[in-house]
Amino acid sequence: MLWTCLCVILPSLFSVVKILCRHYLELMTLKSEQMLALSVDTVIAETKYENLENSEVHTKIQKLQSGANMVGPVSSVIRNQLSGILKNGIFLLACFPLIWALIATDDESFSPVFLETIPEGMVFVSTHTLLFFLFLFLLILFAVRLRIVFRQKETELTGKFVPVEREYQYYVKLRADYENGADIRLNGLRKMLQARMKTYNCSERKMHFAIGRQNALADGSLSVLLYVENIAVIFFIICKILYGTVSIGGFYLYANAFVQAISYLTEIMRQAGELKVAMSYYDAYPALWELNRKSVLQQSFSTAAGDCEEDSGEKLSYDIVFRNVSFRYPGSSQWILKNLNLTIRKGEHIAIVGRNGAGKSTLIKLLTGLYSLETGQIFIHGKEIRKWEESELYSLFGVVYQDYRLLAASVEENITAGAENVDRERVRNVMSSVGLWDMVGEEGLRHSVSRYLSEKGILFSGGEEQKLAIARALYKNAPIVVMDEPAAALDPIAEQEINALLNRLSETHTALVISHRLSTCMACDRILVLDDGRIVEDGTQQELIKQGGIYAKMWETQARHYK
Amino acid sequence: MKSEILVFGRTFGNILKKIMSEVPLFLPLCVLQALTEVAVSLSLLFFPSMIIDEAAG
Repeated sequence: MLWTCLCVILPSLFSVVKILCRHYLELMTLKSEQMLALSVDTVIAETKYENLENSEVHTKIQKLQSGANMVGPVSSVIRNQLSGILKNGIFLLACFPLIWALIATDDESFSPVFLETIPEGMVFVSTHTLLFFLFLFLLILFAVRLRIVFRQKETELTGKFVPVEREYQYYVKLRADYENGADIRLNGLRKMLQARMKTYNCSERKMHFAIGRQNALADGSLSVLLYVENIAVIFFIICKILYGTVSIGGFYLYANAFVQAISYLTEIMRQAGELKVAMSYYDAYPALWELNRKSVLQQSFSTAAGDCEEDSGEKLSYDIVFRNVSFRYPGSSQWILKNLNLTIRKGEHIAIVGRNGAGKSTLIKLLTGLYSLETGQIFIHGKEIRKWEESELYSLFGVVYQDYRLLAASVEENITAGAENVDRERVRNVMSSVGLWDMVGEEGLRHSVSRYLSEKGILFSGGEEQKLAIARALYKNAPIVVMDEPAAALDPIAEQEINALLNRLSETHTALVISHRLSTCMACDRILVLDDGRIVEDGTQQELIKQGGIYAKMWETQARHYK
Repeated sequence: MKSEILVFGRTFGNILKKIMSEVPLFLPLCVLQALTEVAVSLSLLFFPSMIIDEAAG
């Protein structure tokens, strides 16, 4: 009675625990997946800016995406394969007593029935148990090796496809991107995009065909091997029966134990193979986690190699000092800045001008710490740039780049960078300074700057967006204001307002302005002319015009159009 | 082959360590899931023979 009750209760109880466990594990898997995704997002957000230019980094991110598509999320793969291997391992162990019983059958239980009639070969098999097991072991080992080889080929095939998939994802993103929509339509880029996507589709089909062929070949060969293994086992037991060491009744028992053991072993191998394939995609996780650590190591290495002593007391009165700075972009042999020396005093209002490609934006990117210095030193407030904590360094600058980006968030969030404690008065002041307050108002601050995520988004013009980017830099109230082409999208009146604003700012801030509009430079304390990575002219507007150099030529050329 | 296994082991170890740092119950639950599945199968396999044994006295 007790056993009967247990028979009903225990399996039901185990089933309930199994279901509860599975549900809870699914939740844990989701949490792990979110955590892993967040860890990569954090690395990407915090890594050195120059790493974002590295296509290897993007290929690794794409590899994670491809892995999720091809083998499923990493936590699910680990969960399923680990518990599968453990479960099949226990079942495999459970088969061993019977297998051992078969091995241990010896001549003591010898009761020849068909000894006279069975061929000698069968006698040989039944009496050489260890040799048979060695043969079976080699067969299983061969199957393992075959599976690994096929899996490797599959991994190689899919690995080659990752860059192609990254390219495809780029086109998919581009197709629906509002900012590129006008260019795609008006410049006839649609056909080119469609052709590229068709090429991708073709490559994808080819890859899946090749993988399918590999898998069919692998599954076919492994099935044949499994069949051979099973036949060998059955033949071995039949030999034992005919020889008389195993009873006819024991056939089912032993054959079943062997066949089950082989199937469990095969399943374990398959699951281990799946795990290995998954890891070949997800090795991108540790590589990406290493990214930030490497940046820090590289930074400390360059600090040691760069011999960067603190600046002397005299130079502390300078806000910014460039000393023998040379720079080329990672992977490029072309020097953008060549042995550049520059001193900017506190509160100075500096304009940087020069031809396209002269190195103006690069100079700003080095100053703001977006790129690591290769040779030379930069001092800010007397402290070498490599000695600044990244967050401290970034907090020194209020920057408007020529390729600024606004987020699909509210106007206020864009200006305050999503700060928790918003200074409404300051928001109002900066919005008024750039001439946007009347247009946006208190109500408009809560509206999105685009309609990508919100129906109530405000559509700003290019100039208004630029004003908003300037307002964002001003709200930060950083000691150094850097503007790269701040008036590029502004009308002449707005440009004049921004110039006046910059002049007011320079009373309390150090300001650097890059501009091709020389009217923006007129009110600056000094104008630097950059040419071929060097500062070739340095002085006030009047001084440079008198010199008759590059600036004078540029000034003359622009002024001619207004005469 | 050896280096491949090392790379696999390192990758798997790193990812599992990361998961366990945030979700410490992940691995114990994987083990528990496997054990409960084994328990269900084995209980269904063994208990009938126990009933027969009991009935046979």
